[in-house]
Amino acid sequence: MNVKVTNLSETATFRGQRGQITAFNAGGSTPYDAYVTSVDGYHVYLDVWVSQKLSIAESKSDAEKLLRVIDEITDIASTSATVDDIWLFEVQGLRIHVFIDASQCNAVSVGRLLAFASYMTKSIHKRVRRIAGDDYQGTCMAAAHGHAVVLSTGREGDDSLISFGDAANRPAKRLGRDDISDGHLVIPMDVANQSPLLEATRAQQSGNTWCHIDVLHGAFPNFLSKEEVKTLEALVESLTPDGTANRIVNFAATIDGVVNLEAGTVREPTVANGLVFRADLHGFTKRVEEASMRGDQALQAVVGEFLLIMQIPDAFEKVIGQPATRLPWAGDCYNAVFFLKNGQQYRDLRENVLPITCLRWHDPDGQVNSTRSDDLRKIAVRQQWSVGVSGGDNAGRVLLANVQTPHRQFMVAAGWAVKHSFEAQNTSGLGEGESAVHHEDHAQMCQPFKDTFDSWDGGRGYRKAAKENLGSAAAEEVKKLTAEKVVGSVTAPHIQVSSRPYCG
Amino acid sequence: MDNARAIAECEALTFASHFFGAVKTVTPVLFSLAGEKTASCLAAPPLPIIEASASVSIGDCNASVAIKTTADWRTVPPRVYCHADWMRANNQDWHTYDDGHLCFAHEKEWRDSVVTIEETVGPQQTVEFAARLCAQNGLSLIERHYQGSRLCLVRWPSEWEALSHGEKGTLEYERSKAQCLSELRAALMAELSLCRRTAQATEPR
Repeated sequence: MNVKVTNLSETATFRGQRGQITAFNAGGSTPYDAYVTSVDGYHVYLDVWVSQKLSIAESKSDAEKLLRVIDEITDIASTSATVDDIWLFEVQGLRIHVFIDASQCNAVSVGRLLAFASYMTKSIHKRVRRIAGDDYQGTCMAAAHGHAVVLSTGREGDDSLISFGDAANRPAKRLGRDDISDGHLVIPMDVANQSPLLEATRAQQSGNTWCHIDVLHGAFPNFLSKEEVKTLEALVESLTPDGTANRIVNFAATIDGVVNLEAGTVREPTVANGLVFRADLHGFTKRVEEASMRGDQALQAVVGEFLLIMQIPDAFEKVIGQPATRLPWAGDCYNAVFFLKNGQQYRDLRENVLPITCLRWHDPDGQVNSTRSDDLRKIAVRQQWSVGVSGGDNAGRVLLANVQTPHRQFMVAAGWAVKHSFEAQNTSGLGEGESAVHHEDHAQMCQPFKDTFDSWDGGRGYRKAAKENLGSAAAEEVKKLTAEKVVGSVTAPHIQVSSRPYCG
Repeated sequence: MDNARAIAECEALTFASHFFGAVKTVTPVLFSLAGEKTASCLAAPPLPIIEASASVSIGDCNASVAIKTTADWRTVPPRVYCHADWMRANNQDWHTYDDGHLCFAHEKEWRDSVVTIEETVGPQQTVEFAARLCAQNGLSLIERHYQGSRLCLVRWPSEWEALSHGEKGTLEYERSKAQCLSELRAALMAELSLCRRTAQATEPR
C-alpha cells in the first residue's frame, strides 16, 4: 500500500476513483492508494432530529421531505466549509461530521467553535423547519478537540474522509446518548474551561464531565463577516438552481437484479428493499493514536493496515451472495446495504439472510476467511467488530441518494433500517464479537439463530448474540443434516443407508 | 424398433417415473425421449435417453430437478440435475460437474448397489428400489447445496459424509464396500418386511 502523508488540504481534496486500488496494483498510474494527514482540531458532530414518521420515510411525500432535509443540512454545512478552517468530513444521513482546524484548544479556538455551532444551529432551525414543518424536532451537536489522523482513500469513490482518534470518536459516541437538548452543543468540560464566554454556563454545571451550551439562544461571536455571508448566499444560489419543488421520489421503481446506484440523486433517489448492515471495528483508533505518536513511518504502516482492513468486506459480500452496495466508511465502521436477488422475497432476506450476515461477518468457523489471501486472512482474524443489522416491517425500504457538495459527493441512505442498524450497533453494552438487531427483526428471524439473540440491560428494544453462539447454532444445523439422514424432499420411505457423494 | 431397445426405453421410463414418484414434486413430471449424440454416423445407433423433469420442493423453495436415464442405468448412474441459483455448479468440493450434474454416488458403488438390490428384492422390484435410492442420494446432495447456501458455507462440512476425490475415493469405497453393501442389504430387507406387513394389514379378510 502506497500512502502519502501530507497536509489536510491535499488529503481533503484528494478525489479517488472507484476501483483505484485495483488500478494501482495492476500498474496504473495513480501514485497513491491513500492520502493521510495528522491534524489537531475540533471534531464536531451534528444530529438533526425529525419525527419517526419522517425518519422511516414510508410514504412518497415523507421520503421526499427527508431527502430535502438531508440535502439542506449538507448544503448548510458544505457552504460553511468554504471558509478556510472548516472541513466537511462526513454526511451520514441526518448526522454530519465537520472538522475545525485549530492546533490549540484555547479561548480563541473555542470561540470559533461556539460561533460555528451557533451559526449551524440557527441556520438549521430556520431552513430545515421551513422544509419539514412540525416533523423537524431539533438539532444538537457534540464536539471535542484533539489529535486525529485523517484518511482519504478513493476506494469508495467520492466519499467521506475517515478520521481516527479519540477526538473524532468521543463526540460521535456522546451524541448517541439521549440527554442533549435541542439547540445545544456539548463539549468536554476541559474544553469549555478555555473560554471566558462560558463562565456562567460552567458555573451552573460544575462537576459535570461535559458542558451543555445553548448555542441557539446564547450570544456568541458571529461565525461569518457580512462579506462572507454575502459570498455564501451567492454560492448557495448557484448550488441549488433546480429548487426543491422538482424533487421526485419514485416508490414504484423496481430494482431488477442490480440496483442502479449511480442514478440515485436527491432529486430522484434509488428506492430499494434490503438490509442495512453496520460493523464497527474495535481498538483500531487506539493503535492509530499510538502510531501517530511514533511518527510518519509508524503511521503509514497502520494506515496501510487499515487499507487492507477495508478489503475485508470483499470476501464477506461475495459469500453472502446478495446484491450489495457499500456506503462510505464512517470512521472505522463498515456500512452496506444488501438488496433482494431477482425473484427473492423480502421475508427470506429478513428471516434467513439477516442472521447469516451476523454469522459470516464475525466468521467464527473461518468459512469466509478461507477465501481470502494469506496476508488478508492474518489481518482479518485479528480484528474484533460489533455489528448492527436491520430490515424492518416496511419491506426493508431504503432510500439511497448521492448528495453533492462543492468538493465531494456523499452517498446517503435513509429509512427505518438505516436508523435501527445504527442504533443497534451503538447501543450501550454491545461488545466486540457481538451483533445486535431490533426486536421487530428478531421476531421474524429463523431458528436456530433466533434463540441465540437475547435482550440485555440497557439494550432498549434490541437483542444481541455473541459470535460463538451464532457459530454453534450454525454447526448444529450442519450436524442436524448429518444425523437426520432423512431427506425432507423425498416422500418415499427412507432406505436406511447413508449417502456418500463422490467426484472423480 | 427392436425388442431390446423397446424394453430398455420402457425400463428407463419406469426408472424416471419411480424417481419422481419418490420425491415431493410440485408440478407434473414432464417426460421426453432423446438420443445420445454419437461421435460418428457409423457408430451404433444412439442409446435412448429418457429425460424427466419437475419442480421439487426443497426446504422453503422449489427447484427444477431433472434426471436423464439411459438403458445402461444399471452400470452408469443416471444423471441428476438441479437448476437453482443456490446450486454450486462445476464445483468438485460440492460434488457437481461442469454441466451441472450431481455426483451423488461413486460409479462402482452404484453398480454394486444395483446388483445388491436385484439380489435382495428380486428383478421385479429392482427398478423401483434403484430409482428410490437414486432419488434419496440425489436429493440428499441437492438439499446439502440448499443448506450450504442458506448458511453461506464456503467449504463442504467435514461432518457430511462423502468419498474423497479421485483414486483416494475409489480406495475408500473399496475398503468400505463389504460393509456398505451389507448395510444396504439389511435396509432393503427391513423395507421389504415393512411393505409385506403393511400389505397384510390392509388386505381384506
